[in-house]
Amino acid sequence: MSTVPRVPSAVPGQPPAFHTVLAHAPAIQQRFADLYGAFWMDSALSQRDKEITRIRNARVTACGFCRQVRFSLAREEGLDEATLDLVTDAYLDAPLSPREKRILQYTDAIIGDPSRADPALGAALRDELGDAGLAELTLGVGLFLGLAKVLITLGLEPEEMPVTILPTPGSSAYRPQAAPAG
Amino acid sequence: MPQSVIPGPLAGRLAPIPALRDGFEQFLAACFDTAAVPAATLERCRRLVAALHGADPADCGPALAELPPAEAEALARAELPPGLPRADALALDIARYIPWSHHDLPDAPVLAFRGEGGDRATVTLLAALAMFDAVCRMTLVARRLEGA
Repeated sequence: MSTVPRVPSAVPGQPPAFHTVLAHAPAIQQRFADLYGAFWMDSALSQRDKEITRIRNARVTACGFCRQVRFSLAREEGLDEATLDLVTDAYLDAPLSPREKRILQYTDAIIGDPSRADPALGAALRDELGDAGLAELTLGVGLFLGLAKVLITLGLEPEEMPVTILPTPGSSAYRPQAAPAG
Repeated sequence: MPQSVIPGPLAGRLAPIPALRDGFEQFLAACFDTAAVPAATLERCRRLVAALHGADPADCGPALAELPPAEAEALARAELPPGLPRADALALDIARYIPWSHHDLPDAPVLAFRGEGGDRATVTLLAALAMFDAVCRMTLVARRLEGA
């Protein structure tokens, strides 16, 4: 792992960070910001479901930045640190709901070994989340994974970072220029 | 009508959220920007990432260039073809870490690729590699769960 940026900032006077480095490729930056905001504002899945999924990816992919970020709307829905502390490798034995455990299993199927995905899990999730919810979960996991790997391979991992609550992308408090991948 | 950059099984899974699927399509198209990284370089990387997943290259994104058959066969075995341009060899050296060992990627090949191609190419390459990997995983899971 590198905590030394491998590409400098594209924004004069600003340090290397996800948005300032991604600015070397403005189309990627803009389309990601548009998509990520739309994803978080869509309602096929709850903010809580998305945040639990994002944190699971952050911990499995060991994205130091992503795992320290918390998005505000999930907080406002009541998702607290005690619950997020349950999103470990032992989540199947944790006091999470069966639905949440299946969401985490599906997340693991994508970010772990896809060949181990269980068709029965897909059927159960389709019943619980609906086709749109399962589609949104699939997209979210892919975005969380992809952007975590971009952040890590660009060397943009922080050496240390406290838990930090940021406005949810796409929300009224969100400012794209300050937006990390999360 | 331009060809979709989202593999068929994954496009089917995302069909119930058409606006987000379209946004994803546009984001992927920006990542697979052959004006920033040559099409043949990205194509070699797509094929290597697919091979590392044991997947068909079509599962990981759109075909971006035609390659000589011997080269495609080497990449299908997750081998690096001989005689590649330096930037392509560096890109493949980076790509082989992405699916399963992204934290082990050393600085050297990234900095050397940046020296060859510049900042925009490096950002685009790393985004493309991450999304080849993500799309491949999403597609493999969608296919396994198809009909579930």
